[in-house]
Amino acid sequence: MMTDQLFILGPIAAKPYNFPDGQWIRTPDEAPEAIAEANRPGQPRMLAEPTAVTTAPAPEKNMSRHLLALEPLAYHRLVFLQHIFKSIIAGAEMLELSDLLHVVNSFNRQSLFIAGVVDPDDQVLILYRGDFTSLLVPFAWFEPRPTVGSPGWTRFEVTDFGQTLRMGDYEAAADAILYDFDPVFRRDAKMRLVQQDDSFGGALRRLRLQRRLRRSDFPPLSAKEVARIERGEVRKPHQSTLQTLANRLGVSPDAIEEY
Amino acid sequence: MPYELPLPSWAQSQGWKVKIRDKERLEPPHATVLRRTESWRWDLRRRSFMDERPHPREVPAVVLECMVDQHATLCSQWDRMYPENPVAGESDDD
Repeated sequence: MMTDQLFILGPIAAKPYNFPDGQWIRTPDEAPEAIAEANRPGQPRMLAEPTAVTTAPAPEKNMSRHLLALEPLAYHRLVFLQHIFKSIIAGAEMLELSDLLHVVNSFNRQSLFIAGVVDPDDQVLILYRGDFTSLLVPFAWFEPRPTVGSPGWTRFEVTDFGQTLRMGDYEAAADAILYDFDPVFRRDAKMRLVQQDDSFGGALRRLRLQRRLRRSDFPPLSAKEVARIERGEVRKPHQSTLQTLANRLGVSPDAIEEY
Repeated sequence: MPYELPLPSWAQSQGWKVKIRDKERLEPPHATVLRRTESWRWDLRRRSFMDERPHPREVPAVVLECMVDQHATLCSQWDRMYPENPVAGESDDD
């Protein structure tokens, strides 16, 4: 089983996070012993300085070290730290630290977000999950809604223990993002359902609605033809029909059934 | 703007929330019960929980009663936020 070590890099002034003195690593001398004890994510260690871990022993084979930097890191420091840590989250909007620690210890941490970086230049949101993996979501995925308009990207935050992303007045469900961007999550989510329409038509309907498309958006297919396929009245849609549906949905014909 | 169902103060103090957010999985229409790292989706068409895990039994009766009592409100909020997939369903011709 993989074990994660979590380190948090922040100024001593980050004391408001209430880390006891014993959890701080200030100098290389303190590192080996502290790191040996930091083998559970629930017991993270605070780093006062990146250089405090230069004497750290190499992690064991089944262990990964992750770093959360509370403040942005200079490029040269990032390069240095990449030699020590498997993943680094820096300069990101993070969950409240106490909630974040709860998430990284939860059994479903891969389904929850702990941090995100808004990249307006590339029009993408970089999200970090509780297992420290990342995910890129284009701004365009968060389409304007009738009741709230567009997301307020300058007011991005992660909330509800990583289950919700808030962009000003706009909120997005984490599971909606993962369902669209992570095939493993999608498969697991389908397996958890109490009852569902497992037919091709049911999957087509779910995906069409997720893409905000109307049945009339699949020319040359008519809305009535699409409705018949969704109701299961067409047992085996023709290959050209499948291709038309798939092209408009932005997936391969085989992938429609995954939804 | 997300919709959050007002819950009794006991449930709120325990961290329970019921929300419809601005970007949800669209089908079927649902509200989400949230508590800390767990969530339960409530199908507005079937008036039942959608997922086997976490077990629906973990949702306290007071939260469930609130959702049942406020079913019409939850449906109207969903329809307001997601007019393209109303709780009542679509017609064949869109």
